[in-house]
Amino acid sequence: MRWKKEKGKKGEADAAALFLAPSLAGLTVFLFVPFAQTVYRSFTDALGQHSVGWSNYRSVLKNSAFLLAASNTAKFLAVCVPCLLAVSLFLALCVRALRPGGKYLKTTFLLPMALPVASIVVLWKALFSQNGILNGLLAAAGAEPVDFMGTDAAFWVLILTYLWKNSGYDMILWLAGLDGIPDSLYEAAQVDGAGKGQMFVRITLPQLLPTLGLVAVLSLLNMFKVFREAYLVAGSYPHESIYLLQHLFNNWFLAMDLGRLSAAAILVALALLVIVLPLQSVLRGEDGA
Amino acid sequence: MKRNRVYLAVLLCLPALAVWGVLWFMGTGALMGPREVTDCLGPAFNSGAQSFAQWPLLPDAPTLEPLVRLLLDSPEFFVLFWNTCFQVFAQLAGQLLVGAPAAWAFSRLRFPGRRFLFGVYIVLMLLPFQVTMVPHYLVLDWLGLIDTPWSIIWPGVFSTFPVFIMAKGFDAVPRSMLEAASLDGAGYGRTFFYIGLPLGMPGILSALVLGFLEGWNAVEQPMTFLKNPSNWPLSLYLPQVAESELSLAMVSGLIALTPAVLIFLFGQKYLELGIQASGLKE
Amino acid sequence: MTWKRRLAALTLAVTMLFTACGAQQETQTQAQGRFVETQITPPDEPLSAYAELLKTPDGIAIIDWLQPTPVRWDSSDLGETWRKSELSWYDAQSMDTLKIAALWDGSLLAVKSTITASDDAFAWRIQTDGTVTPLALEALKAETADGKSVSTSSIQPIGTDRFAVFGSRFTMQNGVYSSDRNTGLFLYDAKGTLIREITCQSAMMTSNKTHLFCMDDNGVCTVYDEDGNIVSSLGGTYENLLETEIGAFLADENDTLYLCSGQGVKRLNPGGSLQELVMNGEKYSYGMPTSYFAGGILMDENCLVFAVQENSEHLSVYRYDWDAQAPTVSVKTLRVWSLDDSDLLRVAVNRMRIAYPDVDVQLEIARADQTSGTLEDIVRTLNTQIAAGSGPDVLILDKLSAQNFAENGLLADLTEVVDADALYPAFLQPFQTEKGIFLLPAQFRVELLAGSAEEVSAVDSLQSLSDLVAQGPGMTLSDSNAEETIPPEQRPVLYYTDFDNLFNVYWNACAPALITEDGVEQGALKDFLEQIRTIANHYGLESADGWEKSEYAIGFGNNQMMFVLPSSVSNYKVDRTRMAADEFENLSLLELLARDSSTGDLSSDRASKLLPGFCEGAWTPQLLTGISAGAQEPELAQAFVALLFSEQVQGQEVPGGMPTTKAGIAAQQSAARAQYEQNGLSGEMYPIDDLIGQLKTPVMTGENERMLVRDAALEYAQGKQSLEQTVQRVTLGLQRMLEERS
Repeated sequence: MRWKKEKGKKGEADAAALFLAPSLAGLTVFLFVPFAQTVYRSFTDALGQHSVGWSNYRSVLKNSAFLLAASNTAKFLAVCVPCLLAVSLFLALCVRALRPGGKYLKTTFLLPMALPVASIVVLWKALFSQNGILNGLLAAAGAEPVDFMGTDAAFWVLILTYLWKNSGYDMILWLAGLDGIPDSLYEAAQVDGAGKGQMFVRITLPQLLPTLGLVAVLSLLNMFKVFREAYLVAGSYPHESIYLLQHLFNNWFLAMDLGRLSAAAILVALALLVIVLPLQSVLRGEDGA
Repeated sequence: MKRNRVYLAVLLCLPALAVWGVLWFMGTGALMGPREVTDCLGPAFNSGAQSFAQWPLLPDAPTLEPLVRLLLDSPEFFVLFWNTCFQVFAQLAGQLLVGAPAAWAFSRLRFPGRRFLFGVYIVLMLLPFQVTMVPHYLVLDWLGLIDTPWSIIWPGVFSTFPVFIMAKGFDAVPRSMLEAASLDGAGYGRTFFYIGLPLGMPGILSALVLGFLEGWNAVEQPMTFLKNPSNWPLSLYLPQVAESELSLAMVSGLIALTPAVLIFLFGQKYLELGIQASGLKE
Repeated sequence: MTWKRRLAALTLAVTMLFTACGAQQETQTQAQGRFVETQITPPDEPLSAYAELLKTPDGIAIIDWLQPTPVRWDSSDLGETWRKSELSWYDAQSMDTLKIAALWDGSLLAVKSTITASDDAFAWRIQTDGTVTPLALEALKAETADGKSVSTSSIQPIGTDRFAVFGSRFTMQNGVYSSDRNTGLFLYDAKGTLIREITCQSAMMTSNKTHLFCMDDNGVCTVYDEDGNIVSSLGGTYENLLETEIGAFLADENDTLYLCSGQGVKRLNPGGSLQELVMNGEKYSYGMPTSYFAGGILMDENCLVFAVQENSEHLSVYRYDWDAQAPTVSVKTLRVWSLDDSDLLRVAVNRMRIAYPDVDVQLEIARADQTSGTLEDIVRTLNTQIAAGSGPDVLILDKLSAQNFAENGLLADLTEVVDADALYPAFLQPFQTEKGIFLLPAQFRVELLAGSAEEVSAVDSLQSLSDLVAQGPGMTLSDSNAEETIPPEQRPVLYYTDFDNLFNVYWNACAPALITEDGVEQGALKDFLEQIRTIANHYGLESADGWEKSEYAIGFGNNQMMFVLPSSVSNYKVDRTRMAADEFENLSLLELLARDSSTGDLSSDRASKLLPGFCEGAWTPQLLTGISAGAQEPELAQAFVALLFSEQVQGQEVPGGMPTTKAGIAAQQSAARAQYEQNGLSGEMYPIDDLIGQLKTPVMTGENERMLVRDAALEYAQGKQSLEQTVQRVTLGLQRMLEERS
């Protein structure tokens, strides 16, 4: 049902085609063609010369490193996206309640996004190394130093970094979404005797659904970017808990294992498609009207 | 009521501290000489160290020396700064020209397969770089663009991320307005130019700001497609410089941060993708 | 808020201004044509290393007075044919070692290389008809007052029959040479009458018929006429030219100067600051890493003749003619890629360039300096190029995952390229697979244990070595003379200057037993970590700041190369330790180890054997060569690899490793044998064939694994983790690597 054809006015589709033409043309060259190549290479050997059928896919699905990376990525996704959504929404509500002073807070929270990766890496190493500042504080307080990067704590450090970096922008988006909810709805509800909690759940949240869609997709995008920091701090073979799909891709590339790299890449792309398409339909509300 | 506000403010100070703390760290670090930085942070970076890293409230011996060294003593800094500027602004211009019409089509025009195609755009946006790196390189090599700034610019121009953001921005334009316009006899192009662009400006500017950040801090593409160090953007050069000397790392971080901060100051209100409650929503 | 806008605009403007100033453009101009090399060494007898190359009115002359029968060669056709004549005037008794110059009238001037006060006659003029006239160069003689000696560094002819002699005073006391820099240049006429004394700082001089050019240390060149008057001074723009060791400084009749060294020939136009590189040394024989630039003469601006010392005894002569028609832009390009620099590789590349002058042989050293990036970045760049089909033709895969390349079908079969008999079986067999041979090492290294025959035979495992070390004394750190010997009873068993040295030696003897295809051998790993810790702790190697690394550079071998003695070996050689266990990469080092320091003969008391690690016959392959399956110039690549394994190249003794071909070992040994025999020693050499016969297991474990185990071993040695924890950590880390591969 979601896929029923949208019939617009006559010529609307043609106009759309024109509008889309440059973008699609460029995409074809720079993305579709490489993607098709990747599909092709997933069925061949490293140099792309001899076909090997489905063996790359079979090998990938059996490979324990791939399974670990995929499960880590999924775990990360399952934890960090909801966390981020909740945290940024909370921040947005707080900042909103503090109007008009909250304006400066907005800039503050936005800044982490602008920080270059290299600086974050330096900061991270300074804080979380075996002999870093945090361990120094712990030692001074008499506690045992924690091996942040060498244990499961690494997972949470990564999540913390992710939240710290992205909360700001998501907060801005929530704020915009919140601003878009007409006050009339609240007024009407208050007249009907609804409490604050009820208003939040019944009015605010549903009205925020489109924003939720946007924020969720962006959070997903930024989650993949977390690899940069993880890689620069912990190298190609980090602790088990933060071994992500991109680590595997990187290492397979360095080992010239291109067939399996391509197969794994296609699997990831398919997984994303499966996640994104339904999400898109459910959460896009604005346009129908 | 007032008390609640105070509580809230205090509550928010904690995360805010997390940000200000980092900025202060970078600021003080930028003012420290090489020896002081190594003394403070050295233990964290060397594997065989016996003591812990620490950070003072203010530098013991504040000095502008690393800043001067980076800005004035290294001529390559400016070549690379120019590289980065050129690469980023060219991309932004292209993204605007190519992405805005596409976003408009996705948002406000109706055509078969729109949802699916948009979904594809999103998936493409999400794909990690490593997935298509090799064929991407092949295409660029075939086009003869490897080791030129165009190897970064052209793919960046056709990135689907700005399309996504701009489409969300265009979503705020009410259909009623479009229908009114078409009743008045305006064609699709005119509607786009005179109604869509102005109303969707927040979305467009938002996409540009985010695109700027993306391009300014891009690491993977330049590393793979630009071989000659004289073609590198700052985002590749600075970490390398930082590798050799910690104090330069601090300063270079600050420098890389500055343009983004300026842009935030300048265009913060445009990052909000929506319209004021008092605005056009009927 | 307009102030924000203004601020932003101002910042933008300022930065644009800065960047516009900073952006620089470089233009390169390419000249047409190139020099063509021809070898013109006189036939029959090899020239001694002291032969002098001279330019006569007739053409070229070579005076070789060091031969048993002193001889003179003349050629009037630029070296195509030579006339041999006896050097009748040379009297070894009175003349000793000479410096010879040809005056512009064809007569010769010979001056003793070292003049002392006791020399009655030290300079002679030999006319074209053979008459020898001693010249009393009084001013020069006067320099020898106060017991000093004068070294005749340079003689330059000027005018019809005048010459300038640069003599530097020095004293030699207790083996210490001290020179008096304030010495001079004396301009004489043919009868030996002093025309003028010129103060000059360095011996860097040349002349043409009309002018004498003297370059000082700052690159300022003073020009004199034949009366010794200063004509002009070309100043200061040539400073950085003197960085390289200049082999020959020449001038042509137009006063254009030529600076020649192993790196190439630079031409300086008179009075200007234009420096032009007219020849790139790396494309010719004189630029070979193993060659020494002995001297040169300029026939005219399109013809140069160089004397090159290619091994330690003999000189070769090459002529370089300018061919204006020769294309400078090559039709074909051969790309040779290597992670690190290697002298043998450079020799092979140089030889390839000489053999194929129309091919642009590009040697890419990926990890050349600090800006190259990490190992991963380099590999990523390489892999991307290979995946895109535009990769290098020849790959040197040391320290990279060579096996991966071979297994993924990225390399071409080398079976037809290198003769199977050429290599020792030990070096060939591990690389023979069913599908063919894809990798071959051009060099190898081994870890040896050296000491007295008795002690060495008693050590049969790493454990017994550790026991010995633990029972022995620690190393007394002394910061004074590093060559002080330690009394025998106080000598520690071994010593390394840093942890990495120790680790690498042990790693290269054990790695294949620690990490196999199935994973980590925990038992062996535990043992390995224990051994390392024992030794590291005993000498305090695990603390962050170790002793200053002391390395000794020694020149030996059959050519001009310098070799670095591994630090633990140098400690052993100067009797500071009882044994040495280290990596050996040269035959000369092995000889050094096996010989008695005083007599020079093979010592029966000293012995060495393979370090008894966990693997039998462990050896480290070097210069693992492969041809890319997607090479764009497969025939040229094959020719290059064949050249790399040819006797001509393998026979050169260079740092980095020992040759893997039988012919290479034989050539190096026979050259060394000749030298030993010349010095009156027996012709018996270190039994390298026996050693090679024991080799079985190549150590090909990757860099990632090595770094992982190394970091873990260091932490264990520092006591930061227990043995169990360390092994666990290594296993987990490696597990990921192994999982990815499965």
